[in-house]
Amino acid sequence: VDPTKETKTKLSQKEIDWLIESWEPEPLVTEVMEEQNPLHVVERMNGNQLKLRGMKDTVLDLSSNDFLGLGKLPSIKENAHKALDKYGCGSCGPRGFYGTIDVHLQFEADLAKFMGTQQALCYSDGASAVSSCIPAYSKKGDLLLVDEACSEPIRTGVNLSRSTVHYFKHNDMKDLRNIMETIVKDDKKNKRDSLQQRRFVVTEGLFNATGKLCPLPEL
Amino acid sequence: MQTIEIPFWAAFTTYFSYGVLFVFGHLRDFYRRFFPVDKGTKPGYAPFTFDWDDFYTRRLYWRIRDAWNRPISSRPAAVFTVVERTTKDQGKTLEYTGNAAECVNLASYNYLGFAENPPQVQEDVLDCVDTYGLSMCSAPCEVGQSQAVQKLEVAIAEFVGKEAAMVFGMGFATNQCGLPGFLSDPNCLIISDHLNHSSIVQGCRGCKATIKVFRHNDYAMLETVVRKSIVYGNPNRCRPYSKIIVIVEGVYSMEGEILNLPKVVELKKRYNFYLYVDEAHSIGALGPHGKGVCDHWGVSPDDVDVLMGTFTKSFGSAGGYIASSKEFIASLRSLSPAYLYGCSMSPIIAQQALSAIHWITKTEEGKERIRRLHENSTYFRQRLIKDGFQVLGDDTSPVVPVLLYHPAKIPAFSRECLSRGVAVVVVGYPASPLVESRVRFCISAAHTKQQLDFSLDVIKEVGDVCCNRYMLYEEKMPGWIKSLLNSQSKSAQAAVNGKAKPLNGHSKTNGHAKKKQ
Repeated sequence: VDPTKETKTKLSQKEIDWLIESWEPEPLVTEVMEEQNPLHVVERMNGNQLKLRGMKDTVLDLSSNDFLGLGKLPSIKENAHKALDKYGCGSCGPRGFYGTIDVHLQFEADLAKFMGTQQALCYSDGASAVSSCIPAYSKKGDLLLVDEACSEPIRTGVNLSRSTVHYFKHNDMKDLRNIMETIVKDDKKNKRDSLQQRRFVVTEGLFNATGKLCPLPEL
Repeated sequence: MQTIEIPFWAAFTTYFSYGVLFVFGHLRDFYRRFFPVDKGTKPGYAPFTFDWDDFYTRRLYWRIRDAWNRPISSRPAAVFTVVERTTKDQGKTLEYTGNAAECVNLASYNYLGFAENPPQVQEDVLDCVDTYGLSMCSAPCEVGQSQAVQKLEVAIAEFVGKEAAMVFGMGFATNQCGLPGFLSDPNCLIISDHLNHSSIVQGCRGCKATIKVFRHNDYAMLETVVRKSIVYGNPNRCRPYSKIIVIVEGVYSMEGEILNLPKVVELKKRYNFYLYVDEAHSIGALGPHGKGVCDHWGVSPDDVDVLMGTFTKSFGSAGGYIASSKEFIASLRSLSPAYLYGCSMSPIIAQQALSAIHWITKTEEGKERIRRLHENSTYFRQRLIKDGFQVLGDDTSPVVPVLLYHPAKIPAFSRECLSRGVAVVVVGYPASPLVESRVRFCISAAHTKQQLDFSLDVIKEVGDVCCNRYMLYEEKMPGWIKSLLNSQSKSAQAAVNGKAKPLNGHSKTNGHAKKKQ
């Protein structure tokens, strides 16, 4: 019998029972973390003043992403009241099964006009919008060129799409150009038809991680 | 595990119809090769879809797409207003006629009737708009955690019987971002029911763990898979798995079946695996107190390691939660991307869910709603069975699927019901197996007996028009034809069992498919 080759011996019922009984799983939580209490619990928002729990005075809000302050406008709050009275709080169904409300369609039409595109789609959650959208277009065998500093939802979407991914240095157009040239050379060498592979460059307009804008004209 | 017995004639006509549709689809594609239509692809770029990718969408789904994505112009209560649409070019474009019809709503996930809020709940929600604005616009680890969300986390943990809970802004994202949060170990094994929702599939794919799938509700197969996995370990690493997690759902939304929780817990205790139950449809809808599948079976929530659910269905809100021990939730908060990067749940939604939980636990009317939901579901299901339809699922489950099989009956049933004032949801491939298309009714506590009787009469009438009262036809069939077809139907059944339920990993859902906001 050659000891370098793998052998598959059949196990007896006794051995199987012993293996099952002696198997001990690891605990569900391997690293016990300290209770990650959120930094601040907000009790009330008045304009751009926040009342945080445990603090007597209000503080100026320099944390949230409400850049235009639209969430605090009285006219918008009034419209929210009207919408809650007319439509209720939840849509009680996905878009395909009577969860499409006429305001969704109106919003999508207005959004498309605002962005200057033909049509628009709205999702209920920003992070899962990106991570659902990328695999919808880019499948296995396609190519994605992604900026290094892209946020986590984009990375999730890229992983779920199972496409070939190359990360280029943050906002570095020279690096991107080099990668693209290498791929085109590879195409000619391997005689790959570029019309059979969908290729996307994924970047952010304003990066959450670094606060920089992407160089759109060069891109 | 329920087995679906397709009547022979239904199987024959279904396969024949699909055959005709595929042949005509291919003929049309062949014609388009010589007279192509401009798809809007820019020169020098690869097209977004190649021929085969979207064959089903272009040639089958597109013709009947008016049965889905129907807009409504009111709240999704027991009776709602559906906006009318027509098509003049076989589904390519849909136009609004300007009319809207009031229909009985057998489609929305409105199990406890919170689409129409009781006055106190509505007041709480409107107050929240004034206190916080519309959204916190921030991640929960920054300034996204509002007091409403904090209270909701405590309330939902207490409601389901766990130590702590974490809430997410979207039901789908709860699984998609929550599962990778605690399953980051590549030497871990996930065993998932093959009919699990696509959010669980996506969440599992986001982990580096090995995934194995067992046949729907087949606990013998689950036991075999667990035994083999423990004995032979991880074949890629040649070492035992560090832990095994079994993921199941409380109520399966397309089958209407309730999970056999005592059986799974018995297996869990024998083999030491961890259990994750997705109670998206069962929370609020099952059990004498509305506390989900544990309440329904009288099983202690301590026997289930992780309970996940959504607020979309029974609480009239949006978002989801994961409830477990304090250490687990603390670890989930540190590792879950939703806590660190995602936008936190809007306080208005959190308040709606919080007030709904308070309503069903503390008020008499809330408890009455739970009781009424169970009564309505049982009554509706029993009447459909009496009328001769092939109904799936268990008695108290508020999801009532009825089989159609035939592809042409999918739009026919939907359109005929709508023209008679009942809005229903029809489900085809890929949300259900190819030959097992069905119509799925969602019962609500808000439905009155008159509305249910009216709907049942309409469904009976449409059942005659579409000829899908299969149990009735079986009964009325002469004996000699039955025995002749019995021998034929056994081979048809074997063919269906072989083809219609693939087990090589999860099927690709999300066609005209499933829920979870």
